[in-house]
Amino acid sequence: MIKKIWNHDYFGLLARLVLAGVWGFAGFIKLGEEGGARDAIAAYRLGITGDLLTILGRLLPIVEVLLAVLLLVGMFVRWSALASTLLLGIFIVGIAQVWARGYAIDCGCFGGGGDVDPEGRHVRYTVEILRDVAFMALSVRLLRNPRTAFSLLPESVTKEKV
Amino acid sequence: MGKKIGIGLVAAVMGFVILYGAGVINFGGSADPTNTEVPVGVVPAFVDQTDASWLLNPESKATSNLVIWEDPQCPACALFEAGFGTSVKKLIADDVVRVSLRPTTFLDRGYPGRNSARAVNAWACAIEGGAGLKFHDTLYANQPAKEGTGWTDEQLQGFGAEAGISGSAKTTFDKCVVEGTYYKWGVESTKMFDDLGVPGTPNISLDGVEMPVDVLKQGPAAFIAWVTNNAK
Repeated sequence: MIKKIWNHDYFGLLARLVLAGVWGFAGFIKLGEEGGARDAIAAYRLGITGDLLTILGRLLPIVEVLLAVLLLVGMFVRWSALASTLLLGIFIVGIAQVWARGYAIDCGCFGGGGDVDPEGRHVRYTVEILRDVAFMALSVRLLRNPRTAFSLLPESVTKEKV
Repeated sequence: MGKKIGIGLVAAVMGFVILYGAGVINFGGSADPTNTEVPVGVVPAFVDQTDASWLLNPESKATSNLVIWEDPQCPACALFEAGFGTSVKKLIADDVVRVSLRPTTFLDRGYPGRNSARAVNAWACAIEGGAGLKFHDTLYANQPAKEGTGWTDEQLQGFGAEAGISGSAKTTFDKCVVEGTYYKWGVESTKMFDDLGVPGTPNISLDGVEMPVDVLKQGPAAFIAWVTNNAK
């Protein structure tokens, strides 16, 4: 029953729309900030500096908006879902490592970012990771079964093999 | 049909990406419309000419370097100054470390009025006037309650008086604040802040090793102990 709903074309549409909303929102806010996501990325302390940091900062919001557009209209759903899954995976690892190393940052997921008050960081990090895991589940659904309702460019694949 | 729309759409987005990447399209960080005349200024001679840091104790015989990055508008920096300012002075008095202050004005990106940059300039003016540290402390002690509100030139000049600048030095100071004589200090230092990928403010490191967040949570004694134990 759950599997039937999960793989239903309309659930696929729902997954697409939810992810499009999330990526679009996240991307647009970052586009409006100087340097894009640069300051937010710096807070993760991954040793990324200089030009690479600047380029990644400008690239991330663009990729997010591009993903949102593709998911919204339903084009290259499989590829979009793959990118969405990978990006969310990177975000989860990013948050987990900064958490494990004892830093207190704003994830900068939807704009902002940087160091913040350490108070309540465990709850914040937990919520952020769980949220990303939920989005990742939707992405995986689309990756494994990119067939969805109202898709501009329907995937020429047969039904998912389970 | 769908494919054609698809190719068109991807082409449109790619075009947008190229324009944005080339800086033709820019959604954020436009110049502040209320204040079009941005001073150029110079990097003051009394700060390090290679990394734009200001060494508080050049006479120190210590070999370890404590580096503190702050933005004048950052509330956590004001909290750090209120809670640990005296600890830093104690470390200097005991000659445990050399202490460098490094300004950044990155918070100006989110608020109008170039307040961080103007405050850093005023701070340089105060260093020239012989009251650098006192001005610095006064500035953070008088941070507005709401982040981004900033200070007027008159307020910054008042902090100079409070820091003890008077007479002809005060006249020079006041002029320096208004004209942005040392405006470039904040600009250059913020460039380095970006290039180094400093994760935020305040950012405290000893010989390049970032201080763990828990140290500040434990209070001034833990802060002094961490610096003392890790200093060379």
